[in-house]
Amino acid sequence: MTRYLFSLLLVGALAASSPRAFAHAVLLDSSPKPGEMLMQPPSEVVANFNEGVGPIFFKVLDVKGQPVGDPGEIRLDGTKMILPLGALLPNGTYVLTYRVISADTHPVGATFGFSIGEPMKSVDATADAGSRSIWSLAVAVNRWILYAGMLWVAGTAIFMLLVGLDGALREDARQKARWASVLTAWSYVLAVGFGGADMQLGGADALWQAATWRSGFDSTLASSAVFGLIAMLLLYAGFAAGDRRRDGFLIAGVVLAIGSFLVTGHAATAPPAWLMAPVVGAHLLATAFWIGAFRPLLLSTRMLSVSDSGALLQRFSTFAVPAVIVVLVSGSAISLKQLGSPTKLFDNDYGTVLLAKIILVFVIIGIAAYNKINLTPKLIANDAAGVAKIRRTITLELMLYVIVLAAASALTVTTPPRALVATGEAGAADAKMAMISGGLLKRTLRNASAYSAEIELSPAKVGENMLMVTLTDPAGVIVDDATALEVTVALEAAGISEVRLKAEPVGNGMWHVMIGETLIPGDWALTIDGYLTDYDKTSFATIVTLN
Amino acid sequence: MKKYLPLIVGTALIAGVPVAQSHNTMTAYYAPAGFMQDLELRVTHGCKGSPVKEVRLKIPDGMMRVSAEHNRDWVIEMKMRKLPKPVPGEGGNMLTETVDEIIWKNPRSNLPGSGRFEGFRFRGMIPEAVGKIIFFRSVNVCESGEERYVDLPNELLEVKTPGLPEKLLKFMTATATPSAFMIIEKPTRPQYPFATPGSKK
Repeated sequence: MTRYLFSLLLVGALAASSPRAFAHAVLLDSSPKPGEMLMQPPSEVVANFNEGVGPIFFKVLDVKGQPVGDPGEIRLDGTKMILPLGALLPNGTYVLTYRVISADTHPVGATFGFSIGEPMKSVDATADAGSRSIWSLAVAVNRWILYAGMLWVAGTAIFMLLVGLDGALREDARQKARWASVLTAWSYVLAVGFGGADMQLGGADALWQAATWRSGFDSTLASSAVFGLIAMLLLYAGFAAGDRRRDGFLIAGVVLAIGSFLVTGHAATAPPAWLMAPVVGAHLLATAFWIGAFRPLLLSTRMLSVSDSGALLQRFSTFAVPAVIVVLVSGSAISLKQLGSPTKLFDNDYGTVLLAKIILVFVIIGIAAYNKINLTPKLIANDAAGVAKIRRTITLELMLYVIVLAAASALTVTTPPRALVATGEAGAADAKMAMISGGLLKRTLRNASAYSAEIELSPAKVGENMLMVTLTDPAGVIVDDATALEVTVALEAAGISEVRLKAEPVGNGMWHVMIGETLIPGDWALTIDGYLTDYDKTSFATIVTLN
Repeated sequence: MKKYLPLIVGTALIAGVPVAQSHNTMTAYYAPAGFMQDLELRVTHGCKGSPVKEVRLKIPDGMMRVSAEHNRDWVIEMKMRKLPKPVPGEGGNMLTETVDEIIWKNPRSNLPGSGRFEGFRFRGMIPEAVGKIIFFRSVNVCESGEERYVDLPNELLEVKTPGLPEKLLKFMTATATPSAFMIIEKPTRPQYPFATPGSKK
């Protein structure tokens, strides 16, 4: 009993020490501000975030994209990131670009223009807040291997501790788990390198560059890898060791292995971390137990007598039922936390993947229930007909679990709606920020009363979009004293009609609004109602196609 | 799955969207040309549940001698506009400006409560333009947000416009924020106490 109490305490301690993190770092303020015209060249540029960040790069570029200003070392002061400039910049237009990582290892970046001594010329910003590098696939695949490997090794340990294995079955389990622990250890190391390459937006040779690994080591991936490597070492030793020392190594190894998954990722680092980390830990423990059981159970049908195999299944079942309950309860809690609301299952990538995962898990539980209720009694009754059947169903379960793990690793590289919402609120709170542009859609609309509206939509993709609107009167003069501006978005094909949003003036006749509704692809109808006075409205309509 | 996503999202959104469209209207739809007339702007609801704290009304062109009824709950402000040329007023003096906007303010207002509306009463001389339609554009300023009932029909609507009732109905439902309107008709019986048409003094 004390053993389990000890492991519980260790999980708690890990959870408490894991960094408190909100999902994404959001730029709250900067100097210079996006689009700002400075009278004097700055001696430093500053970006202030809602949380502490790790800089990947922070640069001032000229309009040709060349770094300028003789920058010094990037300094961090609380939530501020400061880049001192050694040289005075001559008058002209510049681009400020940064990419940082937050505690959940998601890279975030933005690019915006500012000018010194003269009005800003138009700049085509190129960086993208959530752009995925060529390494994101490697990150996801490696994470899949890591999940499978870690859960296999930890699961085997848990199975041996709880259910117990004898003879040839135990020898097989020990051997396979040792192999898996070596593979998993490699996967932990690669996670740091792949993660670093992803954050740096590295090229094909990124793994051979020191900066890649430095980025990886600066992120929470490093602490995850340290926990994970120690865990794999302990588990390897535990599986290799004689019986007496085995249990201690295995318990410590399992706790550290689970812990390594709690110090990173947006599920366990979601606030409140003291609550979410243990919930995620419980989810992983129960899942590991389940996965660790597959091979011994499958093998038992071949190597043991039918009734002995049935007895093993029976022993497994006593722990499996509570494990299923733990998986379901903790899984629901995590899902709800990440989604914000059950309806979010349906309108974004994260929800779709999660929904697929949930459905598969229920299929697996259904098969397991069939095994327990129909097949296990047959085996106990020494009915050989059940053996072939249970082999097939366990293999099917295992295959489905491989897909579930793929979905789980895909979730770790997909931004949850919880984080999307956080970004949106901060974006709306400070209209001048978030001049984030990946794609940019520019269009000039003219209406019957000869007013025109110049619109810029970015990134003009499915997801949250930023709209900037400038109104011009029939004489071609920019309207800078309009009372209000409202934007209506609608997607008739999907029955989404008349979502009305209020734009905020950002000066010089420009209006800004964040459109969070554009989450599904299609031809979105955009209506812009400019109020020249309280009572005089001038409207524009256009269709934008989002993919 | 992807194929049915829009359908599911769409259904959910429709289910959550209120269908009723009610807006600021004039209590009466007809007014006699050339007479002083008591008028009332009816405010039936706030901005997405947020109570109305201020109502602004734009007085249509050609409407003169406007005054607002005293109201114990709402503080009344009036904005004036210069007339293109002075016109003779009551008692022979020349008027150089007229009421442009009436603003009712009440920071403690909880309009609307459930099943209630409020009338904002004012009066003025209806223009001598039989058969024309005048529009009363108004803005509800709420605790959070605003609703501007300022939309005008796309075509000129008059009594002689063919199919006017249908067109007016369509105008009232085409957008969520149509202006309130009144149809100016020929006086059919004597009006009291101002029995004589204003412009024919």
